[in-house]
Amino acid sequence: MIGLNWYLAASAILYSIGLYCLATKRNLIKMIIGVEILLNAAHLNFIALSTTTAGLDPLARTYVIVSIGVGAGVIALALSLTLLVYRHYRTLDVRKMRRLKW
Amino acid sequence: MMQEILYPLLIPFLGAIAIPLLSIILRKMGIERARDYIAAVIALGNIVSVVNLYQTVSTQGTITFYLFEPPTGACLRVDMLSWFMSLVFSNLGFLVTIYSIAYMEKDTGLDKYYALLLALIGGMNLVVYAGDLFTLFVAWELMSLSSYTLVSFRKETWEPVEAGFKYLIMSAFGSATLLYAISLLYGLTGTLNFEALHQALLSTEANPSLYIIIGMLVIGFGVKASIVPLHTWLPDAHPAAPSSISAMLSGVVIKTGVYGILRILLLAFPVTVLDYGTIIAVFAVLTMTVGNIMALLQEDIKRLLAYSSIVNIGYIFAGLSVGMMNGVGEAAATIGVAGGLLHILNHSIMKGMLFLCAGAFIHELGTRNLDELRGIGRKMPVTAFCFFMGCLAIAGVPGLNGFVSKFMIIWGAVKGKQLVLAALTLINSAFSVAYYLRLIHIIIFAEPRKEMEHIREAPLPILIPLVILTIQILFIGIWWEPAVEIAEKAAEAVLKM
Repeated sequence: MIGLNWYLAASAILYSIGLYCLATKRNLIKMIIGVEILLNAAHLNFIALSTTTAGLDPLARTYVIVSIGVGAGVIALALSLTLLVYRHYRTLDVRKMRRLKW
Repeated sequence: MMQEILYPLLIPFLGAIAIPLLSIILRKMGIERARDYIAAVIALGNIVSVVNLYQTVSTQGTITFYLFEPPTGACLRVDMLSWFMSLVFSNLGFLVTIYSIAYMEKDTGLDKYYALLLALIGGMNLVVYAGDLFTLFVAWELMSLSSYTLVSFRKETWEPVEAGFKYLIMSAFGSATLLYAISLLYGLTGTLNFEALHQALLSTEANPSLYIIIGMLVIGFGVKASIVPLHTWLPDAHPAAPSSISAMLSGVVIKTGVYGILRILLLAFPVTVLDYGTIIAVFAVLTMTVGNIMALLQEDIKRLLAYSSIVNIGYIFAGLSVGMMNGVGEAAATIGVAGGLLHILNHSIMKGMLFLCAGAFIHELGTRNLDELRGIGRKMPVTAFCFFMGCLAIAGVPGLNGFVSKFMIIWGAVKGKQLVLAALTLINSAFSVAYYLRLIHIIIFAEPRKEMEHIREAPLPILIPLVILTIQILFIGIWWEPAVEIAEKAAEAVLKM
């Protein structure tokens, strides 16, 4: 049985990877992947914390499933915007854009 | 009785679903423009349902509406603060819908525009009516999705697409941080219901994990509220959006972040144990100072107004931070928070109107550059008068509404013996007059350029919201007692949970 702390550490590491990805990557698709990793860190945390010795809390699972659905909507919109960006600039590099300064 | 609180949610959401379907039928009948007026009627219905709720909320205090059985599941919870915020949202939402009838007439895909606008209003109402953190999160994402799409609505040009993408990435980072903080709170207490959270953390002791949760919540909501280190999306996204949407974003959408910080921090974390007011006050001062300095340097009218929104978020947080400090006394906390809340209402009116006026100028002349807008006010007297009143009100001239709330914020800080905060707020407020006077000078008093011979007054659907907002500015400025009373009730509702 793996202890709760390992899961929490894993989700903290995932969160850090997501932040690193957002801060350093210059490709729009990679940034979107960073956002997805950030969201999944929170989902993992939710599931890990809902597991106690008494059993599972079904509520937390409902939350995570709803949140995955909502997150999919955000990612779909981000990808469609990426498509529009590509049509305007013919590149996905953030540095090639005129005003995107992070 | 209980169903009353569902109307402010159902009317905009069902309207958002109905508008695209109706517009198919209307297109077949050849009266497609009727769709715009139907959207305005739905937004009006939303205001009526919110106002209708006042009687119930003021007599019962708090209404809780469970969608499932009490201990678990999603619920709605409406108290005076929620009602106050939803009134602010509905008021500007209705006026922006009327404004869009003329402003957006040359754009295509308007059925989607009105559906998203109504979904935005409904989403904001759901954010403030949520009774547990998860409902709040889902409503938050619903509102955010509508606002990302509306920012990049004119997708044929590069600027909205780029600004919308930047807004989406930063805001999605904020939402993910918020969800992480919610999961930590859930792990700590085993519940997400507001009342149960309050009970669970009532007798807590200060420990580092609580400070981490507070920090993540402030970051998560702060991206939307554009507190200074997280503000960089705002000066790009607000000018890039259509002016009607800029007014919605600057006027009300950023206020949902303020609501989130105020509600969740005061609800879950007892001020007497965890003294976090000072940190919020530091961020408030930083926000207004940076916003002021950047606003002075702008050459683009909408970018200047966007930076001015950041400044006003600073004032609002200065007022709210007084209520989050340990040992300032009950009276000072109430006045500070009520001042902040009243400034939310006033700023939504003033900044909404300034953006709508700027939109009217842009609609007629087609440029946002301040040099090219020189003297346009002489050609459009009614819009110019409204713009003049808005600038004076937001600069804090006595007799107009901005003065009342700024005075309350500073008074609250002085009464709570936070003299440094009061002094810095006052200095920043005086400093900001510089660029409002510059705006008035350029738009109204400068000589018109030759190219403006053909400029005429804006059409009627643009003028009606401007005139209504000017009347609201004068009304709250001269007869402030009812507004102050409602703001104080809202402040008490959140302080004495």
